[in-house]
Amino acid sequence: MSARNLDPVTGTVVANAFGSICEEMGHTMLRTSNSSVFVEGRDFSCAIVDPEAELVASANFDPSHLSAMALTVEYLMLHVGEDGLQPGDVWLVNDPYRGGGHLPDIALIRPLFADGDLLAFAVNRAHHIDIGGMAVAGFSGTARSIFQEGLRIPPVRWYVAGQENPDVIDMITLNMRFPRDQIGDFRAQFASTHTAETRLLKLADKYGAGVVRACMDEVKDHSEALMRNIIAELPDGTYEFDEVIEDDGPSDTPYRIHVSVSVTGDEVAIDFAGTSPQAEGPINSSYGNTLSSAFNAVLQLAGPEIAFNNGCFRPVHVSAPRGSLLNPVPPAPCFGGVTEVTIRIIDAVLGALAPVAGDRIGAASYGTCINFSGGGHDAARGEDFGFYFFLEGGWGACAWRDGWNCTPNPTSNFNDYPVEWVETTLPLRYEELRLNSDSGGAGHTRGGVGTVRQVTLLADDVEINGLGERAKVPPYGIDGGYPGAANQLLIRRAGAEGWQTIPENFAAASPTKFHGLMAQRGDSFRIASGGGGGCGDPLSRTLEDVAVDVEEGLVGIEAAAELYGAVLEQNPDGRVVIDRSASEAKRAELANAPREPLERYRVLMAETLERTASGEPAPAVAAELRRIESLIERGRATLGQGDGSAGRLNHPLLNEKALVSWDSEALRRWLARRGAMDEG
Amino acid sequence: MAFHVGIDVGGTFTDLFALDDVSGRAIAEKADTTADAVGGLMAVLEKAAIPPGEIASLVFGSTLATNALIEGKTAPVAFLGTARFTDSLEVRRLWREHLFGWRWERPKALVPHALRLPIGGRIGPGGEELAPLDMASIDAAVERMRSRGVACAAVCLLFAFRNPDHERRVCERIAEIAPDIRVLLSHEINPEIGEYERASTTVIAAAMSPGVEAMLGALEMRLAEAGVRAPVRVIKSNGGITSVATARKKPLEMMRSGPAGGVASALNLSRSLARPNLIGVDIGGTTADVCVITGGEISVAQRVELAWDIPVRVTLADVRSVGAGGGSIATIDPAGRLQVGPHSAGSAPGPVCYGRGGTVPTVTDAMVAAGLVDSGRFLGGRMAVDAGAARAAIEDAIATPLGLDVEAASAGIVRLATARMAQLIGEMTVQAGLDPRDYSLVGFGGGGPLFAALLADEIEAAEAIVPCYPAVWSAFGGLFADIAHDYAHSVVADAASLDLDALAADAVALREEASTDLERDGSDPEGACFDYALDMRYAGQSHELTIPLTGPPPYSEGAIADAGKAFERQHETAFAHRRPGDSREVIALRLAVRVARGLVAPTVSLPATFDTAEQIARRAIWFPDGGGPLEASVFDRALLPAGYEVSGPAVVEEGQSTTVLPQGFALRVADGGELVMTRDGS
Repeated sequence: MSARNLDPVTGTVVANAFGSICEEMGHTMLRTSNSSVFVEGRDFSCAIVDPEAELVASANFDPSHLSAMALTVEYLMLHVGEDGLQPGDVWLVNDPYRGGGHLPDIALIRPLFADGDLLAFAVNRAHHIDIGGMAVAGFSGTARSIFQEGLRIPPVRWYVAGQENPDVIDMITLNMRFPRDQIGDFRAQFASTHTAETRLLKLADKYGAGVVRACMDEVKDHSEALMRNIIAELPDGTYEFDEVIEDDGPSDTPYRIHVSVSVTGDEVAIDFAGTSPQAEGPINSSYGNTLSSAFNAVLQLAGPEIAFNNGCFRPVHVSAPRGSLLNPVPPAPCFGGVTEVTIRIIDAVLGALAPVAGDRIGAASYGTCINFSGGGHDAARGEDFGFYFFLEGGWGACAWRDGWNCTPNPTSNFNDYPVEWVETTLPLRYEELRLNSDSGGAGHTRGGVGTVRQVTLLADDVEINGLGERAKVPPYGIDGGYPGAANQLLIRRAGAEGWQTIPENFAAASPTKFHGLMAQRGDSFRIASGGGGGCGDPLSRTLEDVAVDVEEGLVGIEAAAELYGAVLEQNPDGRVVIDRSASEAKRAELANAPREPLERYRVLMAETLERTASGEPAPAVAAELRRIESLIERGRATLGQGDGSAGRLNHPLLNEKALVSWDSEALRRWLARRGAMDEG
Repeated sequence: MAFHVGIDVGGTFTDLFALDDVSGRAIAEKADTTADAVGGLMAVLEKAAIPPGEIASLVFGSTLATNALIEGKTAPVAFLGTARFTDSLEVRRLWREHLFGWRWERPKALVPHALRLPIGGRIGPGGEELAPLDMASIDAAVERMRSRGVACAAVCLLFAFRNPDHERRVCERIAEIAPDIRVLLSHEINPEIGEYERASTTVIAAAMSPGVEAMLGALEMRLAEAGVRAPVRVIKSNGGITSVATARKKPLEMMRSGPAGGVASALNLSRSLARPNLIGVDIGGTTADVCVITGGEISVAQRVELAWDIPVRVTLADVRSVGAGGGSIATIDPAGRLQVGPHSAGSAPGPVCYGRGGTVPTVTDAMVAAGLVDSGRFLGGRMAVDAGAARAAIEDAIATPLGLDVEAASAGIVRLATARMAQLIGEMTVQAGLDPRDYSLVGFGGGGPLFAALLADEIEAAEAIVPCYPAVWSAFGGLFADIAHDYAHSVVADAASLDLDALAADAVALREEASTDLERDGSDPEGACFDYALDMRYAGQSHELTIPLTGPPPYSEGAIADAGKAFERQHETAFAHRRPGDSREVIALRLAVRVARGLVAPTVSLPATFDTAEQIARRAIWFPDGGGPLEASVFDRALLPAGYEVSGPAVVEEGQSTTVLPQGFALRVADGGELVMTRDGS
């Protein structure tokens, strides 16, 4: 049965069921996992992937995983072949160079069979609280190699034909710092895919496996059609943009993301040629992650009306040069690629499209997760502890409304950890949680504001790690709107008066990317997340709106005058009074003066771009690039181009994504298994 | 005569359902809702011509308090929170509604910045005082409230559920300097961990409180003036009832008083027909509301969201809605797929066939076009229905683009609406480890009888039931409901080393609180059922399962161990695995108090003979299975005696509803007049 002759009502009913199954996978995960990174952080995704290794449906959890999930399944299928899959198998894999994003994101893949035929894969990909490596709870901001970031897991079988293979999980959890909790989390992932198995097989039982497969095709076709409609509304043309990653951790060298977005009819090509070469520090974005990010950007043009699946991506073509920041070769470290660079890829693509899609998107957002992790021993509770904060901030303004306050960045979606939970479970004292006033970029519509969070350590010898961004280069405004405020991560030593940045207090090159720094009881940290960029000229914002901003604590009374030309007075009862004539005069004065915030941003951006890493790849990278090229040539010489009859997924040399993302080790092993070269 | 009167004040209509317990006569009446609720209530009583002196009991439910909240029409509230944390009401739990797209509007904070007022002082996680209470900050807050004309304060201080001392002293100070200000304290409203949820719950309680008080006060007064001497009771979100006096104290418990009428009706049916497992589906114009009863107990939820990320933590019957009611709109999306809901044409302009200006086809139009509803006898013939217009609208908007004929397209719309409801039922049963095959399904509300058998078929329920007077059945529910109160207290401790003395003390404290409420209700606590339960989870998890404790407190180590075993079993049922090696935590102690009132609904009078019970017509119906038209028998429900049996395909018509009996189903009229439909051969 094909999607074409499926009855339309059955198609819709089953399509809804796919979404519902993924939701249920997520609820199972939420209700059974241990680590707060899942329960509150929601840093996991659930999906159904079809036998073509294409995403069919997914649930409203963390978007950073989504397209990389299907890529991991694709790698698995190429790695073991379809014959290597059997009912009751459960696979684990996390390697960024095997379709993954970064090491803590461990995908659990369960192939599902109906009547002996492969029906689908249930996939649960989740960010584990620890994956070994040099930093407690991850985020080694100064790693120079993926081997420092933790344990790499190629596809391994935890369950074989329904039987647990405990050696595998023992081996993995021995390399994790919180094995008891993390085994619980693995079991939650397992339960989540078990749920999907039960439901999908029931669906196949009710409608027939053929109909269910046809519905999988139908949902992809449906999303594709909706996506094409949206792309078709954009004017044809090529739109370019530069975004920067302000430093890489080990050094303060910035990196450039250059994008060229070409719209032709109902298709769009996103090309990252011109991007800096891969970085020494942990800011490299694996190919899978770059794909996820580019797709995420395009989906921001749409909304919840489009079910997220591979159909959305058919009209979107992404290329990223191998050896660059956005398609690195091993052993480049990748941790921050998933949490930081991904957001900036989205900012770059949206920045390029903003001039022609102003009715759908807006200015840049705070642009980071401001990952702050660490741990040590809590003497009061008699146990080791680890913590991992990842934070919200302000979103960019768009033409029709102000930016959202305190909202997770576009590559995440999470709950915060309640103050009362943090204090009940960790040796931390929360000192403050408030809106970060004046952090939203001024504009006709204003950027959303971030938050200020302040905590004090109640334990001795606490290791801290960080991986953040946009502490130096703030988020851009659009259409004359001003940039938002940059993010801040500050420390105040016990007994000291003032706050200092990380480089002011420690031997660190970056204010947000660091590892293994030691802090002590009584030391306090303040994380002030930035706001979104503004949209349009702030002098055109109504005085009434500015007055409300001041009354709501979003804009200070001085900023109201200096940025908006709104001369206001606040009464003791909190009410704000507008001085109209003074405001008129102030606005006239500001209108004739240079727009300093815009000018400052322009200069800063130009200087930063000037310094970005460029040039030829490092010798080790160049050597790996040559190895890959020669293996591909060798494979083609031995195996030929293939005629495709064995199926696209049995032949990586016919597969565009495999050819641009596999490393030499994967290629070599694959060729050896197919007898095209010697094993070993 | 002695009338039992149930009244449901909805957003548009005030429904009355009354039973004369002597004659068995039933009265159903409707009036327009008035802003104060009481005007409409008095009007409907008058319309029904029930002499006030002959009212034996009166139960009242209303969505008005919640509607006022959603529409922002409640009195302003000031939020008094721990200094440096008052913005938590705007920060919330962050979480955005959709992964992609910028069209979303983040809901406004419950309380504006100028009324989020800092209280100095700090309690720590162990209940210890880290910084003393700053009395001056209380005075400053009162001054700000005064200058803003705000007379209601919600106080939520960090860790007040561990140590309420600061909150109590804030309350005392305000009583001293501003006795007219109403103060609600978070440790009383919701003594559970999680400062944002506790704060939002307290603020919402404070916002509802003046309106609920005014409404209930006026209600009591007007009824007394009119000569009603019977006790007046209020239906609560948990499906139970309480006195007006207790309801005034606990406004949150009226949060979902409207849908709870259906819950109470379903509980009553579960008992009277001995159907311990029952799924209730209330289908109105805009939504279908579902509740689940297992072993005679309603599934409960411990929180509800007022808007995105604005939670209220209160025990309530778990009633969930899907936008698939009679007014739900059918469309073809830009990629050519048929969709039903969630948008609704409501009652104005309503479905196309109503002829009130509706132009987009709805589920009701599809029902008419498929022949499931007889356009000539809609609402007992009291309302003219334009079947031609319904057909034309479906043809243009749905059938032609899909390449189907009008009837097939209509049947498809009905099937899709059925599937959406079935999906919700699946989420509430299958996902909770419950098997719908063990359940009966009762369909009520205007559309319930149309879908009951179709839904039972789809979810494989054992049978479908349509009660008497299905359209106003909700209003009836509270009449025979139990008095029901729920209480909780945060514990957060390892189950193996639980402080049993402290637990016993908590149990006593909850019981005392319950006794106060019961006495206010006029019930004797001695006759009440006190059921304790523990919220448990594996150490490290964040979601709990509620596990009943056996017998009265105090609880021994053995009792806690038994609860632990029950927890493991329930965890396995719900989540397909146990973790025998992991320790378990107790998060909260719960107490559910029920006073059974021993009333059983009198049966309605049915025809005494089989003589009248014959089909009144035949017509062609396109059932949603897509199999083409079938010639179906049409019956008039009023003519069907107990024990009468009908085979599908058929429809049974009555005043405001039509019961659909698909092919392969048989219908039997139960002794109480309910229509019970089962699959042939089952």
